[in-house]
Formats: sequence, C-alpha cells, structure tokens
Amino acid sequence: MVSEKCQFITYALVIAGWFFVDWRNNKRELRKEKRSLIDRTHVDINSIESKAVEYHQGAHNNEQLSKEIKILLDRLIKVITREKLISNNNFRKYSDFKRAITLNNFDSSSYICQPDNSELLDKIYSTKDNLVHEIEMKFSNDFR
Amino acid sequence: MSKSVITIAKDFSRYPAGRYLSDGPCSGTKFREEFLIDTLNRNQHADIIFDGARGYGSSFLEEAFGGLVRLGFSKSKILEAFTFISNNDPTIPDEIIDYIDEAEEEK
Repeated sequence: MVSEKCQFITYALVIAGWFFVDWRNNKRELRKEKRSLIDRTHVDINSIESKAVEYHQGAHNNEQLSKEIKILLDRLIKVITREKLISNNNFRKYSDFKRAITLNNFDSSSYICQPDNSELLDKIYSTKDNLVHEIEMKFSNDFR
Repeated sequence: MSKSVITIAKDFSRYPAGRYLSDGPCSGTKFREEFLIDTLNRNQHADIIFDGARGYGSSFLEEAFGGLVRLGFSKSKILEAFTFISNNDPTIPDEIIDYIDEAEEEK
C-alpha cells in the first residue's frame, strides 16, 4: 500500500516536472520571438524618426517623403496592435509620436525648415523615446 | 435621421494630406467641406471608414474635425453625427476626439 502511494507520488512528480519544463521552454521561445520582433520594431521606429527629421529639415515640403512617413507609421501601428506590443490598448505613446511628426509643419504649403534646436524636433525625439520605453515596459512585464 | 457611409479611401482619396486647400487637393479642409459639413447641416448620421487610405497625417485629421468646432459645431453634435470606424489603426477615433476636445478648449 505504502509502495503504491510512493509510486503514485513519483509519477505525479514526473508529470508535473514535465509540464513545468515544457511551460518554461515555451515561455523562453516566446520571449525570444518577441524580443526579435521588438528589436525589428525599434529599427522601424528609428527609421521613422530619421525620416521625420530629414523631412522637417529638408529644403522644401517633400511630398514623397511625407507619404513614406505616413505609410511607415501606418505599418507600425498595425504591428503594435497585432502583436500587442503596448499594454492595455493604451496607444497614447504611439499617438504622441505620430502627432509630433505629422501635426505641425507637415504636408504644408507654408513649410518651414526646422533648425537643429527646434521644439518640433525635440518633441519627435522625446515622444520616440517614450514609445520605445512603453514597448520595453510591456515586454519586461510580460517576461519578468 | 438617415445614415450614410463615407469611405475616405474610396469617396475622397487614398492619400489624404494637408490641412488647408493650399496644401494640396486632398486636404482636411476639403474633406470637411465636401463631406462633414453637409452631413451635419442635414442632421444626418454617417459612418466614416478610415481603412484603406495610406495613412493619415495628424494635420489632416485635426483640420477636418477640430475645424468643425472652430466653425461652431459642438462636440456632442459632431459625435452624434459621426461614427469613426478604423480597424487597421485603432488610435484614429481617440485622436480625432482629442482634436475636438482641444478645439473646444481653445474656443
């Protein structure tokens, strides 16, 4: 009777151990995939930031570049929502980034080339940093 | 109250851009004048579908919807008249409401 109990406990421990190892492996793989996706997303965000600065410091209103920026922003939000890169559907940080780039001096016939120390460029840099931080926070919370 | 559907990419442009008429042929002002004001003046309701266009600059959205407030339409009338549908970019409806709120604050 005692040996049967021991045998049952042994099997139970083996099964529980297997589930635990499997769960941990899955989580590790998921973490790797997510990390790689986030790294690619950071590259995309950096690219949007660079293009935005290029646009706002260009000699004139570059319609082609503005179109490209809008398409890239559109792709970015699709990835962010599809892959749930931001917590609780709180997209404020993305909206702030988009706004910093496209609300003022954008697609405008009264376009003004921005100096290096312009408030508009500062806003682009800071909202981009906030967006990256938000994505990293979500990652850190999910895989702590 | 009759109901219509405005699909921006189909009925207006796949490349909406700019704030004022001087900014280009598919500006926020043009969209507001051709589609939004008419709906509001006729007390109609419209679903506005944002999907399909190749991105929206905030200047376009601000001028189209914040501009309604500057023309004298109240937030409640605007929100009663329009339903914003954006499956691809879920941030658009909230962004528009922000512009309406900010335009009301500036009044």
